Amino acid sequence: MEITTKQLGDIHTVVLEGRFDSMTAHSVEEKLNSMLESSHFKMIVDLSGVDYISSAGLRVLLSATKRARQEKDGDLRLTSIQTQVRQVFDMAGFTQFYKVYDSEEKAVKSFT
Amino acid sequence: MIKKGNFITVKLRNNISEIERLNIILFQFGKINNLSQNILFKMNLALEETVTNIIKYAYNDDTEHAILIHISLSRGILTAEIEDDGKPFNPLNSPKPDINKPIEDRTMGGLGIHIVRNLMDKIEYRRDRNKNFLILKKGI
Repeated sequence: MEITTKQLGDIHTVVLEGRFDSMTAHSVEEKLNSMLESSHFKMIVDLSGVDYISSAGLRVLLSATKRARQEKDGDLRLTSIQTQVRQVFDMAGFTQFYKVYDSEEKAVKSFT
Repeated sequence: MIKKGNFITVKLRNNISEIERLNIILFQFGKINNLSQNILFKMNLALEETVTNIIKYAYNDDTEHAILIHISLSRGILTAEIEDDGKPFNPLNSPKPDINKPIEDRTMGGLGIHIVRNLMDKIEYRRDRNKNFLILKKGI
């Protein structure tokens, strides 16, 4: 799993690439937690490079989203979910929790 | 690893890092047997959820345990039998999570097994010789 971050104003984007599973979830969790600890509560997770997710990945997203939403204007939004990953979100009932955008640009705009 | 075309047995240690080896072997098996990416994705996810649960919850000690996975393809059915010597656990008896709850009330309990149930066509469980056997079946 490759994790890169980008910043535009107070909006922070985490770009994930690879499998988001029980072996890689911990590194994503650390990255999201460090952002939350730095009071970066407007987060975008770009899933365009993620071709696999398991409940371990969903757990990390759920926890970070709950934390971000405790803050004013805080949220974790998703972009570019691949079809099979989307199916796992649907199965888990997670689709209802997220605003999903088809590009990072749209996700950034949604915060402004 | 025992390889005989449409039957394979993988022996894993109870360590999360073993999931990667399982994935590689499953995809090799899929390639040999011309399985679709969609079927492999589903079996891969079902196996990860099952094996992760075993590694996390099945053992009360810190010693090494073997988890055996027998994967086979017969008459259009992909089958994975997962065998562990952990404490008795029948995932089919675990309560279904309420996936319609709002985010603030959602917990992750039972979600892995819920996903496995959704992915597979048939799941069987038996306890035999102090071992758990979970059988996952998916039509190709």
